Amino acid sequence: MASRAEQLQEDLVKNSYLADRGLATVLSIAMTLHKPLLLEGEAGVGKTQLAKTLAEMTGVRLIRLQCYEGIDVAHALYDWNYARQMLHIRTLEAGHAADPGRVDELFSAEFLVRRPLLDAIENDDPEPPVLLIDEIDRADDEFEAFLLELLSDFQVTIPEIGTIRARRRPAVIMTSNRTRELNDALKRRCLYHWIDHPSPEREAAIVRARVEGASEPLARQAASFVAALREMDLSRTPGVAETIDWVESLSALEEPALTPEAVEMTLGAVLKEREDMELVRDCDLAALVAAARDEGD
Amino acid sequence: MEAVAGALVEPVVAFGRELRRREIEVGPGRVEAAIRALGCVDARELDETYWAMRCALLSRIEDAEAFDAAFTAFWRGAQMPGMRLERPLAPRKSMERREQEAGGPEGAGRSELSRVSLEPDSGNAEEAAEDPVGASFSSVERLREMNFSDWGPEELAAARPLIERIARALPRRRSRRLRASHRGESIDRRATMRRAMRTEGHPLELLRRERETTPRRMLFLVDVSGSMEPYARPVIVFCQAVRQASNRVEAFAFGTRLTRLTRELGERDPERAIERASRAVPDWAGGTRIGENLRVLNAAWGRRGVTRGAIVVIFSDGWERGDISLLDREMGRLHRAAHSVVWVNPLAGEPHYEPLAAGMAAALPHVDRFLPGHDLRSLEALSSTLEGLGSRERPGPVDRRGRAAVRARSLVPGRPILT
Repeated sequence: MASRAEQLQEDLVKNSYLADRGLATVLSIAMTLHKPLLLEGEAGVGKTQLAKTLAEMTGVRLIRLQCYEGIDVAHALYDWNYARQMLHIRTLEAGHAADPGRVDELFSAEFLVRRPLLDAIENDDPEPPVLLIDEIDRADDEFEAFLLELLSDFQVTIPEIGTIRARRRPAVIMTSNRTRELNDALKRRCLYHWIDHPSPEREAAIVRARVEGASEPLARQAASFVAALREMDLSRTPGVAETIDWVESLSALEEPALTPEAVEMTLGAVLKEREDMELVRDCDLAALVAAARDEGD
Repeated sequence: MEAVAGALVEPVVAFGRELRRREIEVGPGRVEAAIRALGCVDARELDETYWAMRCALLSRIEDAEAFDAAFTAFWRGAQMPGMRLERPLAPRKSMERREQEAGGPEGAGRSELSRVSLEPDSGNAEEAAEDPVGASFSSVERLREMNFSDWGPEELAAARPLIERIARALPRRRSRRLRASHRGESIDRRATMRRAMRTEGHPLELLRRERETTPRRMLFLVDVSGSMEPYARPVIVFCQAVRQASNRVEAFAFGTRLTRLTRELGERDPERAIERASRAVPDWAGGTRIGENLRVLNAAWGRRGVTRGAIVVIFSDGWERGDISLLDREMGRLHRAAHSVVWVNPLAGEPHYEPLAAGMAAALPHVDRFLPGHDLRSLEALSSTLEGLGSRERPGPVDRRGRAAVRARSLVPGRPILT
């Protein structure tokens, strides 16, 4: 009998996400224990995609909160619709009905603007959604402290309305690119997993699952080539997403295999910095391609 | 499953102790999470057991190697309840090294720094520094101007409170976060509406918000090669003090290779922090390859955004044993990503100092401020320079001809190179 983790791994594969056993095990534990999962790793290894695939696979809604510096409760949790509140006051005034009791209406659910976190806690979904808190390292300490509170009991208090508690906890996936160390208290709430760049074999399989009509040799050669690029001293290492883009461009050229000319033409899909392009062009492209073809075969 | 989980409590708690012994921070919450995580997986599969423990007990990828070593050592001996141990774990690289380090005499040999900083009576130093008696006052004054190269353990211990005070002035920048303020430029609509409730919905008073300030990211690079040896210790104490005041600080030591010290210096107890830092540096008092180390820094850390928008402070005498053109290129790369680059050179305290070292000369065009760093007074100057830099817009590129002219004039220590 397959264990829960194995089953999950298979389901992810069916949905074109090739997770290794470690990631599948950790994800299945997080879902069973209803604990948030903190994913770290280089850009482009599929941290965000995992949340998307999980939502798609289980047929639930994905709620995404993109973090940025200065993000606060009004952006993440709720806000009031000020324009409507003002209009409502005018309407009440026109009817000479602006007594204190009526004015309290201004802070009712009708005027509440629901932001992603509130949506994740309170909704009419038949199954709890997947909440993706993306790039948490970009937010600041104050926001982290707020999240810590929210993630510990999945309830929030809106002073004018009261306390709202999640009937069922959403699956929470947080990602970080590690531009700074996260608060230890926040980490303690989470299960932790580091996603590495995939091996060339796995990457080739991911590419074939993602790009329709990508030939197997081409996918394998491209994956080997990208693996070699990652060994180089680039200022921005290509992620899996770049490999996928690249193989799409190569397939569009209808090249059955990697050639120096095709690489030269499409390198912009993999490398996004001028310095990196120059660095790779200064190397012997033909030799790099030949090595990738050897390894890919 | 409950029964299995119950049987797991003891070994998992013991394993937690083992991890703590190896300096991986594991609190009771994590141990509990690990026990529950084990209940979710097929405990007969070593793989799944490993991942269940790892996701609950590990919280930084840097600890992965030490975790793996502990896992192999611990679970190989003790049979887990109901677990098959047929598949041996693949030996992880450098496990032996880790084990030697963990078991061997702590930091023997190279950690001269720790010996110095572990002086037991450093607690009295603060009293001494604050003693109102004139003699103590003048000894503080003397200490402020004493060259670091003449310092012994007593001076280092006595200076710690002073260094900590100097380190507290951190550069700040305007953040995107807003807070309530009377003078702010933007109107706080939520608070204004709330206040309007007092006046039957008329927004009579406009409440405002302004942008908060936040500590600017800082990156310290400390040269620990032979020629810098007498200066590196006080500087590392300084870095530890700055690191205590802000979590937006990264610190690295470099000689022949680059060592990240951010975590070691994050330790609250200064003596333990310095001791751990000196143990982490494998090439104390060796050679220097500044360009190569900057290359590694730019490649491995710059990509993650550690250098972006940061004030980078390099403590080094600029004696480069490696390739000068590499140093030039990597300094350029660092300077483009950073907010500003400050170079602190202990030799610049000499009255007739000129940047003759080839490495120093190559680095200067990419430096925004050039300061001496040989005594406490110069650390004070550094601190106020940093504080001033924080709020300023990025010093920005200056045209090459203009820069060369300014540079020649402004090599008076402590003066900005760019004006």
